[in-house]
Amino acid sequence: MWTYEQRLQYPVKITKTCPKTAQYIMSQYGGPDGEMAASMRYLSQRYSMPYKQVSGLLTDIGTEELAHMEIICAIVYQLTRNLTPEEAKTAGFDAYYIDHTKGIWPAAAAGVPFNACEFQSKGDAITDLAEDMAAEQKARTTYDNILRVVTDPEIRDPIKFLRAREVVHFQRFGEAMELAKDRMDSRNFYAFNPSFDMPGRPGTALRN
Amino acid sequence: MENQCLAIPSIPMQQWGQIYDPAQALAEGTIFPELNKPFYMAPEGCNTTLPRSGELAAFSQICFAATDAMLYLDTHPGDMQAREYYENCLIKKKELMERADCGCCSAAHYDWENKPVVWEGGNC
Repeated sequence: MWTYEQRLQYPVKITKTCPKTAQYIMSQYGGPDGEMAASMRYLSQRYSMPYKQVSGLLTDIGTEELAHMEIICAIVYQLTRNLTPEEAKTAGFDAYYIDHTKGIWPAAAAGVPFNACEFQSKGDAITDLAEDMAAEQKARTTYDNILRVVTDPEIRDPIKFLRAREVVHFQRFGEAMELAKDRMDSRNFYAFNPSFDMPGRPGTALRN
Repeated sequence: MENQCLAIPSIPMQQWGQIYDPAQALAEGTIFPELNKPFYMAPEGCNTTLPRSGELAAFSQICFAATDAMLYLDTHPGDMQAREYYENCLIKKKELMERADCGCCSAAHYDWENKPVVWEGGNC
């Protein structure tokens, strides 16, 4: 269950229209390493995570990612809310404008629509946590790429905040990996899949 | 790193230490100075020393501090200093809500007509 708080986690106040910038920041909404993929990844993986502490972390970070998705959408919206027909023809945004006008729609910077293939829910505790650590790094790189080319401090400010969160989440998923390891046999973490196998369950056996 | 093994990632467990005040924490994106690792590349001519836009409201600051502490507690549930910090954040959050001096708290949830639209740039 979720409830909605009527505020952004971090404020967004952008006064200058810039469809070109909107077109590539949109990637962090519906792109391969965007906030929607992040949220759906963690909120999907939590069901098969065998350790309650780790599935709790997936729930909390997945929830924070929803708030980040809202920040990204607010940036894209504010960059295009006063768009003129002339500005709509800006290279890069023109194709988007024809299909969506000023509507907010999840797609990658290159125009590929959001797709669940951007993330994985593999049903294996180690595999899923390794994916989550990689996902935070991929999002961090995307924010680095945005910060390398955007000059407007009104845009850079919330992007810096979102980037900082990727580093914190990476640390938490790393700690979750440690918590998972504590619950496994360190002689062979891969002897069985703790998200699926229950050694001793009738019909299964541990064999080499 | 007490738990280092071959063929699996290892990361040191963070220890609770110095904490930013809530205003700086929201501005930096974390309450933890040791996790604050900014990116320094910027376009030429971009003034990165410009002050951050707008005054960040006290309510957002304390909610953010609580969120960051909560994630720490998710992986360190027995840390008494972190628990105390987190509980204090929740108390301050409740006090601010009772004062109801911000746009999102002063009107009823359903009273959308009389509240700033979240994504228009209003602040809470």
